[in-house]
This record gives sequence, structure tokens and C-alpha cells, in this order.
Amino acid sequence: MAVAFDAVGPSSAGAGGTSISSLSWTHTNVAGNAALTVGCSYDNSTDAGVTATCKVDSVLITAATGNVESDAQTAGFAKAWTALGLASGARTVLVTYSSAGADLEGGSVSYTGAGGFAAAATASGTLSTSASVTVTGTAASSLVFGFAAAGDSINATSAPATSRFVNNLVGSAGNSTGNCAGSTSAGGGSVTCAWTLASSTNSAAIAIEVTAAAAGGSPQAQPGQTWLRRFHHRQVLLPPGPPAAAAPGAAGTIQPAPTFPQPRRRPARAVWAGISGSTGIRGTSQPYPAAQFPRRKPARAVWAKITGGISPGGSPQEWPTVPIPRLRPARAVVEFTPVTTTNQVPAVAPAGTIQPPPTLTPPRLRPARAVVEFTPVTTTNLVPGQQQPPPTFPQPRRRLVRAVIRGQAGTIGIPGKPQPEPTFPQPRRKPARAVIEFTPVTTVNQAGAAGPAGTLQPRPTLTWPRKRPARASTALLLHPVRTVNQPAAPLVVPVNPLPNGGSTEGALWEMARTGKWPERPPGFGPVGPVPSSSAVPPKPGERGWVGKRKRRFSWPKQDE
Amino acid sequence: MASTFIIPLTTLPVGTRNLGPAAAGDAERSILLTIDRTVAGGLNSLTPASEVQADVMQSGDSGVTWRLQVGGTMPGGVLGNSSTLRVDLFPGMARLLRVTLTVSGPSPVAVAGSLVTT
Repeated sequence: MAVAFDAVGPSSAGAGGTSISSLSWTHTNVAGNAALTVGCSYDNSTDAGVTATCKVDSVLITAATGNVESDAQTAGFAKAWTALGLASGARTVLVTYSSAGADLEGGSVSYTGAGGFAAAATASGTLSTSASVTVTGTAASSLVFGFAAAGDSINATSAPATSRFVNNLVGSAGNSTGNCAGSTSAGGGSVTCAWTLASSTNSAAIAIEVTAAAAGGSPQAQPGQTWLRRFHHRQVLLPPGPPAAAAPGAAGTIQPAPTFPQPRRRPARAVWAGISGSTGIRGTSQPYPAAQFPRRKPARAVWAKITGGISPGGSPQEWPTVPIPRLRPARAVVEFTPVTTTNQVPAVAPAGTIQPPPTLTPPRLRPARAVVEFTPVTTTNLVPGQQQPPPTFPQPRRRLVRAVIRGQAGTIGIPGKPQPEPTFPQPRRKPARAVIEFTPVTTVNQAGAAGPAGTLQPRPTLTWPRKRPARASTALLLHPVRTVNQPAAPLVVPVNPLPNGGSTEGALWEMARTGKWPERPPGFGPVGPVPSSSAVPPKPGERGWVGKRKRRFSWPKQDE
Repeated sequence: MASTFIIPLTTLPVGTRNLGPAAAGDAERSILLTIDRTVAGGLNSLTPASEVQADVMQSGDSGVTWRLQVGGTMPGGVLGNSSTLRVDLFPGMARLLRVTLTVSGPSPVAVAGSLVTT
């Protein structure tokens, strides 16, 4: 079976765009299980490092070549991809580059009866009015796909090739590409794909042999997006082998049924794969359709019209020719008797004029205040009388009131009427106050007597020391000693001539003898002649008075 | 006879916006979509992170179904004064055309341009 041309996409004019990084179009292949070749041109002032991928219906397909540079420079290149097993219908071809180009051009060709692709041949042209590439060793059943990209317009495809698409997007404005063309040529030996150019320019060309499927045809692709593996050599079906032995029964036990309800699986939704170079499926979920789908018609029972049965004959009811309105939800209906109402005759408007609104802002109402009107009354105090004399005898304490019920034999209750309630408020009883009567006495000051002569002693200007509390013990009175340090000279202590050695006893002796306080502090003793022996010393336990104020002292007893 | 449908200057938020549809004459064979990149807030003023995916769709059944005629990704950045897409129309009668613009990236994109059928 020879390979045959199926369709071109998007059309014989190809597709193209400027200042873009991807280019997509629709390829509609007529036959199922078709093969597809895609060619695309990248034009830019530089293409170093630029990579390209191609997807058909969001599935990556195989690159038949690398970047085929025009003039072996980096100002534009051509690239081709191949795929097998396309189902019939419209397919979206998407070519994506890693970097935006000044312009992109491309097209696609599908084939029937193809079983694979041979290795591609490439060529780079420099300043030539033609672009060409040659592939050798092709089979007569094959078809050769040729693709060219040039820096100027591509006029035509040289015979015997058949032009499939030409896209002269930028004409002579291309860098090294900017225009592209696709063609097919019959296979058989060496096949050259050639194009004539509008001027001498650079170009890149690719030729791919589309090989025919082996006898029996290539394996059919499964429904859906299933791509068959691409081989670079002819595929030969292996002879059928011996029948396989019956497989033994599977060992093990059957998995038990789930013990809990399994959630219902959600319907699958198509996922839009990202356009930019991605090998996997990514992107966002396909949005829900904006248009409303028509409501599915309800199933109708069809009478099978069984011959000889008990069913009646006839044919199924015809579909209605007019749209049946959708049943409205039942609504409750309330029946009632309509009642006619008549409005009354409007009343006559009152005569007069309407009081004009005030021109001033009315004052704010003050809170009402109660006004008490009364007639002044002159009151005259009564003549003061005499207060009731106090009782001359003691008043007995009033006893507590006790209710006395004088019951009558054989009767229940108290005869008589109860005392009426007072008609005026009862004053609260004040507590009794004692009243003391006395006769007022008039006092007369005596005639002023002459004051004592002399002058008043002035107040002291110094603060008097607080007087210490007197202590009765004479020992305490005599014990305090006042000492004065002399500045330099050694303290000369005169020898006390007192018999007692100037001791306290000596001072007491002096006090008892003279009746005066000693002029010197006790302990030092009076300096002077020794008292005569006629002085009578106090005896132990004797008491007496000393000083002007006659302070009392006692001579301690001998045993104290 | 060529027909020109103007795409007025508008700032498209991130997302998809359909422009049209517009009727294509029965004798017209090709379309050329041009997006001005130089408008304020347009593609030339943005980074390559911003992109506009432009698809020219054609319908032969009064807009019930649409098929892609040509599409391209127009990235941000200084890449000339305009981005264009050119393709032939699918033959038929009473054809409708629609432009679908999908903005992706960090910010809205201002677009203006035209769709010319010849």
C-alpha cells in the first residue's frame, strides 16, 4: 500500500505571524489513522539557544530534525515533526518556541497508508535563488515531505514535487527565513525537493520520507489520542507463534467487597495543557461551557408490536411537531368571589385658609412648672402661756396596749363596728423630752477693784526645758555627775577633805547640816574647812526636809 | 473587497475575552490580525511574563461551533510595533469570525488593533 496525500493544514497558504512565540492552526485530516508531518520556520536576528516543540491536540509529537539553520547562521531555522495514527477530524497543531521570534511560519500535511518515517535529510542554502534538499534510498511506495524556509519569498516548488502550502509572510524582510513552503514528492530512489526564491537569499530545507505501512496495514490506533511509536526502519510483522498455553487460573482469593459505600466517581473533564514548552499536562481545568445544553428529551416507551401477542397493534406515537412547553410546577389556586368595592364620595374640604407656617423659629418648649396660687394669710401667735407643770408624783409607766375580747358565751366574733380609718395622716409621735424649770438669776459684776501694782513679768523668750518627772529616790537625784573636760591642763582634783572622801554621803552630810543644796556638784564636795565635829550627822533611816522647798528625803537605812 | 474590524483600545484583565463575531464576506479568503504593541500599557511596556494568546476562530454555522484558524502567543517585551497572525479562511458561506484574547501574567494588558479580511 502506497502512501498518499490526505490533507494540508491549515490551508495552502499555511499560517504565520509576527512577534509571537507560538503558532497554532487547525489541521483537518480526512482519513483515519493518518500520518502527519509538520514544518515550521523561525525567523529572528538571532536564534541561539532557541528550542521548539510541537503538539497535536495538546500531545507532544516527535521531532524529525533539530534546528536546521538557514545559511548555517543563527538568524533563523526550520524544523519538522512527525506523528502517526491520527484519527480523522480537526486537530490543533501548536508549535511553541522558547523565545519569541520576529516571525513564524508553518504548515502541516497528513497522509494515508503511512506506516512510519525514514530519517530526514536537511540542507542549508547561502545566497541562492533556490532552496533544495535531497533524500536518497526512498521506496517507490513512499511519499517525501519537503519543507523550506527562506529569507525571501518562495515563488514555486520545482517539479516534479507538488506544492502543498506556501506562506510568504515577510517576503524580503526576513532575516534568514520568514517565508516557508511545503511539498510532497513521490518516492523512489533519490528524491530532490526544490523551490525557487524571489531573490538570492539564505534558506533551510528538510525532506522526510513517509514510508508505507507494511502488508496488512499498520496497527490501528485505539480511539482517542493514542500515538504509535515511530520507527526509522521498516517494520515487519513477525510470523504468528504457537498458540499460547492456557493460562492457569489465578491463585489467591477474591478481594472482599467494600464494607462502606464507595463515593461515586466524578466525570472526567478535559484539562487544557499549557502551551509553553511543557512535556506534561499542566494548566487549568477546562471551563464549563457557557452555552446551555438542550434538555434531553424524556425517553418514550415504544410498543414493540409483538405479532400474535396480546398487545394491540399500531405504530409508535409520532414525535410532536411543535415544541412541548415544559411543565410548570403546580401552583396552589385560591378561589374566591370577587367583591366590588366603591370608594366613598370625598368629603367637602373645610372652609377658610390654612394658617401660614411661622416665619420664626418657635422657641423650644420649656418643661411645664406647677404654679400654686394661694391667698396670703396673716397668722397671730397665741399669747404665750405657761407650760404645764411637771407632775408632782411619779407617772406610772404606760402599759402595753392589749386587746381585750369580751366574748359572749355562745357567740363567735366581736360585736360592734370596727374603728374607721383616719381620714388624715397621723403625725409621727415625737419622743418625749424632759423639761427643767428654773428661776433665772441676774448676776451683777462688782465695782472694778484696783489691780495689783507692778508690771507683768514678760514672757520668757527661751523655751523652757521640759521638766523631768520627779523621782522619789534620793539615790537617783544624787547620782548624776556632770563632767567638764579641761582643754589642756591635767585635771586637778582637789582632795576632798570631807571625812567621807567627797563621796555622795559627804554631800548629803553637807545638805543635812546646812539645809541647802550643795553649790558644787555632788561628788566634788564643798571646798573649804572641814565641818566641825559638832554637826550631827543623820542617822540611818532618818527623814527630814531639805532646801527652801523642803524637799523630802530619807536617809537610807543601813540595811538598804 | 477587504473588510476591517477595529479592536478598540481596551485593557484586558487576566483571563479570556472574546471579540466579535464579525461577518466575513463570501469572497474573502484570508485574514490578518494585528495587535498594536506600542499602546500605553501594551505588550511592549510589559515583561515577557505577560502574554496574550490570540486565536482567530471561524464559524460556518452562525456561531454554534467555532474552529481555530490561526493562533499565536504574543509575549511582553519590546518585539516590534505589532504582533500579527495571518492565515487563509476556511472556504464556505456566511462565515463568522471571532478573536479570542487570553491574557496571562501578573497584570492586565492594553490591546488595540484590527482584523482585516481580504
